[in-house]
Amino acid sequence: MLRPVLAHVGEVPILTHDVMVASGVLVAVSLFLGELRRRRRAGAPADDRIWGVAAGALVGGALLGRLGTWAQHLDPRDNASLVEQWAYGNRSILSALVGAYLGALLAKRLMRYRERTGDFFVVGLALGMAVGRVGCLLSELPGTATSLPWGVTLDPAEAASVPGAVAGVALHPSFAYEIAFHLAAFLVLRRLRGKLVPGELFSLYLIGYAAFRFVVEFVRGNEVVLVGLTRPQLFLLACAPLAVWHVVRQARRGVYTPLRMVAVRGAA
Amino acid sequence: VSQPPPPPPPPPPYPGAQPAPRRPVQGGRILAGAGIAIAAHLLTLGVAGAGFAVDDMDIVLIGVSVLLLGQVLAAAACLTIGIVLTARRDGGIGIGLLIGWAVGVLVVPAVGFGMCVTALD
Repeated sequence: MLRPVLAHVGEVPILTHDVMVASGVLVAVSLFLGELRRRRRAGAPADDRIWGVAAGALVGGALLGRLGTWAQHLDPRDNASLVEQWAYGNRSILSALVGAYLGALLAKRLMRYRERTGDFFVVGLALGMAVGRVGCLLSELPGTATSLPWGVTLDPAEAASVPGAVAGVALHPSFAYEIAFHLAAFLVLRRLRGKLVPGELFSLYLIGYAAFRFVVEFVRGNEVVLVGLTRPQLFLLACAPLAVWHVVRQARRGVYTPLRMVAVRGAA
Repeated sequence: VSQPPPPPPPPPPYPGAQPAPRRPVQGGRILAGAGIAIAAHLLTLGVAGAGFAVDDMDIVLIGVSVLLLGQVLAAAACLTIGIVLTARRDGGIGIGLLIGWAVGVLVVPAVGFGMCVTALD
C-alpha cells in the first residue's frame, strides 16, 4: 500500500510525499487563477493586490509548514536546531495553514487592503489539500489499529519503513478519511460560492476542518502527549474558543441565513 | 498703517515623501520575479550537486553545507527584496520573487533530499 518513492531519476529518488504536496499547491494555484477569471467574466474583477495576498499566503505557508513544529517540546534541549528542522524536520499542514493565514494578513496590512479575501482561495485550497494528502496516504503511518473492513494492512517491508508501524495489523486509513473530507468540502464550497458574505466561506472551511481534524486525530496514530490528546488536538483545542465565538457572532448577525435557504431548497 | 508681509508660500513637498505611483500588477513581471527566485534555488542545487558528484565524503559534506547556506541566502534575498518591492507596488516583480521562493521551498526538498540520499549512499 505504501509507496514513499515515486520514481528514480538516475539514482536520485523522487519522494511521493513532496511530489504530491507540490501537485496540491499547483492545483490550488490553478483554481485560484480560475476564480480570478470567473470574477472577471462576471464583471467584478479582483483588485490586483490579491496577488500580494496570494504571495503572502504562499510564503507564510512555506515557512511555518517547515518550521511550525520546531518548538514542540517544552524542554528546549529536546527540540531540533532551526537548521535541522528546516532540512529534516517533520512538516505540518496545520502549521502551514496558520502560516498562510498570517502571511495573507501581513500582506494585506502591508498593502492597505481591507477586504476579506479568503473566498478567492478556499475552493482551490480544499482540492489542493485532498491532492497533497495523497502523498501522506502513500508514505506515512496510516493510523491506529482497527477491525473495520476497510482497514489497511502493511507488509513487513512497509512497516519497517514507517516509525511506529506494525506489520500484519489492519490500520485506519486516516489520510483517506481526510481526502474524503476535503473532496466533499470542495463540492460543497463550489455550490455555496457567492452565497455568503465575503470571506465567510473560508472561515467555515477552516472551522469545519479543525473540527474534523480533532476527531480524526483519535485514529491518526500521532504521539499522545497530554490527557489522551495529540499535539494537533491540543493546538485545535486552544483555538476552539475563537472558532465558537466567530460562529456565534456571525449567526447572531444573520450571516448564515442563506445557508438555511440553500438547505431548504436542497431538501425540497 | 502698513500691512504685515504675507506669509511665505509653503515649500514644495520633498519628492521622496510623495507616495510612489501605483503600478498595475502585470503577469509578465510576476513571472520574471518568480523566474529569478527559482533560478536562485536552482543555482543552489547546481552548486551542491557538483559537490555530490565527487566521490569524496568531505566534498559531499561541503555540498550539503552549500545547499543549506544557499537556501538561507536565497530566502534572505528573495524575502527582503520581495517584501520591499511589494510594499512599493512595483507591478509584480516583488510578488513574483515571493511566489517563486515559496514554490521553490516546496520543490527543492523533493530534489535536494534525493540528492543527499544518493550522495550519502
